[in-house]
Amino acid sequence: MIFLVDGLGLGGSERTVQILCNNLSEEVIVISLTNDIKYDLGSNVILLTVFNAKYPGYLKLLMLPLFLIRLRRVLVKFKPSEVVSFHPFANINNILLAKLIGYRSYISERQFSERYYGFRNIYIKPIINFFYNKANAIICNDLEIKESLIRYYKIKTDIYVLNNLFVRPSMTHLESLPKSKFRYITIGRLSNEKNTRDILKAFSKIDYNHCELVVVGNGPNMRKLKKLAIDLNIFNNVIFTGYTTDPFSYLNSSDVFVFSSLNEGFPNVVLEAMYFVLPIF
Amino acid sequence: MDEIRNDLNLYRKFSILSQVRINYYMDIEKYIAQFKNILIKNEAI
Repeated sequence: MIFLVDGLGLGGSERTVQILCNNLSEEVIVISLTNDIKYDLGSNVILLTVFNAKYPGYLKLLMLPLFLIRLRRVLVKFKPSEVVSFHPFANINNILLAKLIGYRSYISERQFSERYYGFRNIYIKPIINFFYNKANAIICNDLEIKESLIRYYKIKTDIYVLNNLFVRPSMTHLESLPKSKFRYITIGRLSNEKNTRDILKAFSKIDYNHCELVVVGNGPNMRKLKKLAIDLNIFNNVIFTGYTTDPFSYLNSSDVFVFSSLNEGFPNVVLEAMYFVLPIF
Repeated sequence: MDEIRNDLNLYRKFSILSQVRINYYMDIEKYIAQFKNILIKNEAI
């Protein structure tokens, strides 16, 4: 089986690819378009990278012909009967090469594009409509995404819903973190769509002297959020952990999970908070 | 704060519902079977 991904950086869809690969009994070939690989893959997985670099989205689009040429060279060696891709850019590559080489293309849509792209849908909507209608089948991780593809993007290809998989965290490795106050927690990449700013603002309006807010994750907005915490006079009650490989120890020691994403496909972190029996706001 | 703690304790008593829900998402074998099924079903078409 061949999987095609943009990369395997730290994200929900990347984690799904990792879980899926590592639990398949057969050999899996994962072709990554970039070298952004953060997840460990099992011994049954062969990992190949098309470009030994990491590129921003607009540059990848400009480099599409180069990606196609290099990816074609890799794919023809394996003579695949089907390729499953997991990210929008990988999906476009997959669909185009499926027509060129002659295999079945299965694509996975894991974000609520209608809301995620917003005004950019002026040009993205026709692209999705054109390419996705040429795939053999589409796998979504949420029913709402499927409905949006049919209603908004006018997709007529067969669409299946397969919710994300949740892997039980190992309870024996949980660290017991010191805690003296009532603890709110939020987990996620610190980027605009996660909207952590609103959590800080809301936190500044409660009686925060008796509680603390743990912000788990890293991202481009880290510095801005720290500055906002200082401006709101809550910095001493907010803990920015940065990236951690063990968010579960933090969840295990918290009282309430707060979630402020503006747009999500199927947020794994909510399942994790549910697993630790935290109320979710 | 005590009031919030009481509410949380009450929430935990009913948390069995969220645990039942989460069990649904933890079945790896079922997930892989469904994934393969999609590929097979589509191939047959």
